[in-house]
Amino acid sequence: MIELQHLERRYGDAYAVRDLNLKFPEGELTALLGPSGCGKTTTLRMINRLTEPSAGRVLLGGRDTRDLRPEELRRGLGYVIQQIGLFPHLTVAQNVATVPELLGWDRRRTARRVDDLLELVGLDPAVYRAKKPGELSGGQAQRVGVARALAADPPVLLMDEPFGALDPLARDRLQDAFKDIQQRLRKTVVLVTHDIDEALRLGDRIALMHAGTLAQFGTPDDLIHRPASPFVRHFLGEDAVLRQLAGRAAAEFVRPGDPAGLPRIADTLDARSALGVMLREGSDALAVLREGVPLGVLRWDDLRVREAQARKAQA
Amino acid sequence: MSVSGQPGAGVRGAYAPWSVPGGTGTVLVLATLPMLAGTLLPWVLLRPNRLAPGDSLRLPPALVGAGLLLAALPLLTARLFPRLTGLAASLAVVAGFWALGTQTQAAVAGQAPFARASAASGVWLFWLGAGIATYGAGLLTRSRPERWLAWAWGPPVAALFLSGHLNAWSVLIEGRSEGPRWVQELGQHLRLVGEGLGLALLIGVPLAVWASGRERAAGTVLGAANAVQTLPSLALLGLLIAPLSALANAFPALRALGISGIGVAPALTALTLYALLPILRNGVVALRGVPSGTLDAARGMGMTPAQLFWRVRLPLALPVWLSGVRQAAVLLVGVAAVAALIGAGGLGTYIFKGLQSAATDLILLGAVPAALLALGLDAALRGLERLLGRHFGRGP
Repeated sequence: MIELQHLERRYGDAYAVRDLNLKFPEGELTALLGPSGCGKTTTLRMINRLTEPSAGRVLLGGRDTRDLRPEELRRGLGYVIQQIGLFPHLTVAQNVATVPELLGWDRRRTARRVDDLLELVGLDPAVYRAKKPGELSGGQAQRVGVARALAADPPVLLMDEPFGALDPLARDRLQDAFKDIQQRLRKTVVLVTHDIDEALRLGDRIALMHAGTLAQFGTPDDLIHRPASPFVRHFLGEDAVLRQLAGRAAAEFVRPGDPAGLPRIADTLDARSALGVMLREGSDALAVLREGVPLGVLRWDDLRVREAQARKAQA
Repeated sequence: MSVSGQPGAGVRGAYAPWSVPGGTGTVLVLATLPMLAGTLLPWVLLRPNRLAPGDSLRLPPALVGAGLLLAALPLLTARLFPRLTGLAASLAVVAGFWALGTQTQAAVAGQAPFARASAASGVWLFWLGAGIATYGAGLLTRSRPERWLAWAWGPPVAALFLSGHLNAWSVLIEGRSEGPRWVQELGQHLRLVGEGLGLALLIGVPLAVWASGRERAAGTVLGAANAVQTLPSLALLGLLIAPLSALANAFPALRALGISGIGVAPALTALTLYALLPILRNGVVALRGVPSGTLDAARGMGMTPAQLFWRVRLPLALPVWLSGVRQAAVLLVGVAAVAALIGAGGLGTYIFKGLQSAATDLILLGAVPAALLALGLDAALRGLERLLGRHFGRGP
């Protein structure tokens, strides 16, 4: 869908991005991960030409983005930024309607679309439509930011640290909400983040960048189990597996079995916490309950099995 | 009177929705003192003609009594019926005008036609006190529906003027003898302010937009405008005489257009230069104050530079920018009064004529309308700012 070929951006003698080759698969969320200053934001901004490449090119659906007028290109790419960037002088509805208006949609179609999108991001249109951004919490404002980016139904969504400025609780909730939305809409998403947990949790794929170049591109499992370099292993940390487990529900690993006498956990618990319960209780199996009714058994071996599979695949 | 002996008495203050806050109480006391003094001081100055020295006349005893009562009324009302304080203060203002009318009429009755009865220190002090009282009443009733009572003096005072009740007052006699000329000078004053402001907007708005994106240019432009502002207005008018008269001599075509060393051309030039700084300064600051994240988002959504300006930058900068325009307008009302010195006309004409002949009434004929004009312009533009502020949300 989006392809970067020998993409480069120089500032004087310094390279912000150097000879970057990357294909973002259609309908998937790719996390552009890396330490600050690694060139991930520059890369994102070269896709919608807010920053012009010094060399190389960006293909969008096989077409060179330089063949389009920048404004035309950008109207087809949803864009969400960290500081949210909502227009403080416009209402929530007017903010969301920005791109449809630039595209010249008629009033009724735009209004209907705005309501649909506010519902999609979990904001009651009747309540929020007429509010000004100043009246919203950080999480609500970021939801409006996502709705605004989706307004004209672009196939591509570019997100620059969209959840970076939120408190941990709001960030968790918004990441969950966004995961749901993405599962329904299947957009091609490029998400810039320095947060490893966020990349592991949301990314179908991760492109890890280091000093303007690509360190590794692959699925989260690839990066965790088959790191391409010491840098990748070091950046993800020795507890990367735990971070990945934290993003998954314990219920995913449940198999039938006899729960009698086992320590009990709720099925909404994440897998890392379930592992913590095993360590605390000194048990290698847990009874998983859904609303008090036994669902099955979660075993130590089942939590490991993915690693084993991965290692087998490697061999 | 012992408060501690009454249960409830101490508590009442805490529950009473209309207690008088300490600061407002002080304001109302400060209002009472000048009114009391004004009542006791000479009220009318009667002179055989407008230049001769005259006799001070005091209020008759009955009116002195009424005046003392009125002086205390706003303070008393604030204690007893706080919501009616505005009405009491307005009553004092109207009474001041009414008494001035009756006393000047009585003074000139039977005098020669050249006799002038003007307002003496008592009237001015009384008005000062009454004005402070309306201000205090406004504070007391702020954000309550009764706050409009502090303006209740407006219609009756207008009625007193229109009915001819104040026609014996020397300022109005001067005004009537000037008649159409006065209206003309007022119009000239408004024209000077309007054209100066218009020209400054025509130059300043594009310049501010251009400079807001350029660090160095912004510094230079603001520095130049600042330098002009530090020149005293009289000096600037004087400095403009030489180059403009030289221009007019060199190019007779310019003279045909009305450009010369004295008159409207240098006045308009000076007014334009003065109005430039507030318009430029606020414009540059406001345009630069638009958050970069907002601009980035707007560009990222595919706005063209023109759309970015009209839909995002201008609306967000407008409230701050407009307050600069308001400052410029008020400033120009004052500078335009000075422009009369170089023959540009306007209300300043009366001020300087009055100063030359030591005729206080003539000075007032120019000064009071100019002051009211500045206040009115300020209020009108403030209202516009608030309206636009509401329309565009509470700024960034």
